[in-house]
Amino acid sequence: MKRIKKMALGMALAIGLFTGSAGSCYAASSSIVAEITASRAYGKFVYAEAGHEIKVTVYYKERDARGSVTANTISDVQHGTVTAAVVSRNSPSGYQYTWGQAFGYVDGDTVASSGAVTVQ
Amino acid sequence: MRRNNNYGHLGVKLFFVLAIGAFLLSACGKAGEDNPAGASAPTESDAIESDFEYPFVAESENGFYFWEHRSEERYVPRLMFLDKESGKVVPLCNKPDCMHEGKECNARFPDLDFGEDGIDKHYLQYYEGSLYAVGVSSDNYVSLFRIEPDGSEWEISTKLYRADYAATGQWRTLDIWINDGYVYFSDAKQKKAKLERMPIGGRSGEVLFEGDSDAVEVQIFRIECSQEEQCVFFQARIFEDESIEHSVGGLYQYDIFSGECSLVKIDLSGPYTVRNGKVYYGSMEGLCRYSIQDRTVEVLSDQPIEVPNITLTRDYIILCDQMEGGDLIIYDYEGTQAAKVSGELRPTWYFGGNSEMLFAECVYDNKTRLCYLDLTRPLDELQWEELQAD
Repeated sequence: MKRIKKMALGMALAIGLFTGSAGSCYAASSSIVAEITASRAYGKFVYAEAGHEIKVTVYYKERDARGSVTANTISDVQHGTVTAAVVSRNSPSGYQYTWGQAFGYVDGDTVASSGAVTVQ
Repeated sequence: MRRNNNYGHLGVKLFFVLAIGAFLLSACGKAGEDNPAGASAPTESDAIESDFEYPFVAESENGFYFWEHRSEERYVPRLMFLDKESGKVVPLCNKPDCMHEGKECNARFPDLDFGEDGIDKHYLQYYEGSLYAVGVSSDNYVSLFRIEPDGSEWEISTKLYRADYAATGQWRTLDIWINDGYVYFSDAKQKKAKLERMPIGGRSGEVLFEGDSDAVEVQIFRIECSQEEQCVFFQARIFEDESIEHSVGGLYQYDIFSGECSLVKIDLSGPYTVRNGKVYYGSMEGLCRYSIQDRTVEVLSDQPIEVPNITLTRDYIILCDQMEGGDLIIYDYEGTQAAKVSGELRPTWYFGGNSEMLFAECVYDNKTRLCYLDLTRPLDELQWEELQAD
């Protein structure tokens, strides 16, 4: 009886840990990529599990010939069965992108980031 | 969205004490006077003297506020405070026992997001005892957010104009400046931008400058205020057609008293600072000083430099050669080069500063870092250093 109680306790603990784990982190695999050039900012975030709100945001900087620098973002959010969020933006005439980085979000939490890209 | 004030014991140790009543903090330039040598320099006073081309660091009488840089190591930037007296850098949170890493920390503010109040982690301005940031409201208005100086509470102060963020997911840092009880701003998304202002907390604004009705495009940028001049300076370019050859523009001023706009200097489209009726800027002619009254240009130093960022401090004119490597070149007001700062850390985005400290984003080892330069050091020891939380 003692042994059964120990086993039951162990199983309950394991289930609790598993549940807690699954409820507090995003266990599905994900991938994120940022492609930043002087003329284009692109980001894609893929999250393998459907049924979530997924979002990709590319943070990027642009500069013009007058020396003005601005910090911009562009985001795409998807829900339901869609598992990929994608953004793409071409630089306006007279502007060059100089830096960028993509971040991926699942249900409002940041879960992934690409490396920062500095345009040479 | 309002954040609850969760701490009830004001006797709890605070990271700083803010004297709000005794100080009216000006974020603009100070009055200056000519010295016998003929070179103009800002006068010393008790007012805060800072010159930021990019107001991403806000100075109060006790320290500096800034956003952490977003990175792989820091997914969600916190609002930070650099204490002038101790030199310590801390998250803006005085919750007892807070580890400053979770969502509950007061130093955490919501990012821009669809259908939620969110703050852009760039612009900051300290004005009359409050800290201001800008972002988008849950009902999709570009808005001014007011933050308590200790970070304990924040609210939407002023809704400026309808955003397109909900539809496009796009955001661009604004040209915005608070002065004399008003928010001065321009909606850069508009093809024909205007310079507008709205009373802080107000509901409607007024247009101060717009291009001719037959212009196809108007750009407004680099809004700066000048307390001494009682003017708001800004740059504008007005396009008659899609070609840049058929455009006119330069540096303009809006006179607060008369309500009139006038062209100060044609074709001045690079960074500038105005002090004592003089416009300082760098160009291919060199470091120049333009007298608004006399309409004359004085070349202080004939070293050509392309659209450098420029900061005026009590003693120096500081140029950041942002287009070429980020060297900092320091001149006195007679145009004599006093120092040049290079090094491993070099600004890729120079913000500005005051007579004691400059701020910039620098890239080192392929990582962007927020950095500072301590101007109180000897000139031959000046170097950029990373600004990190203690």
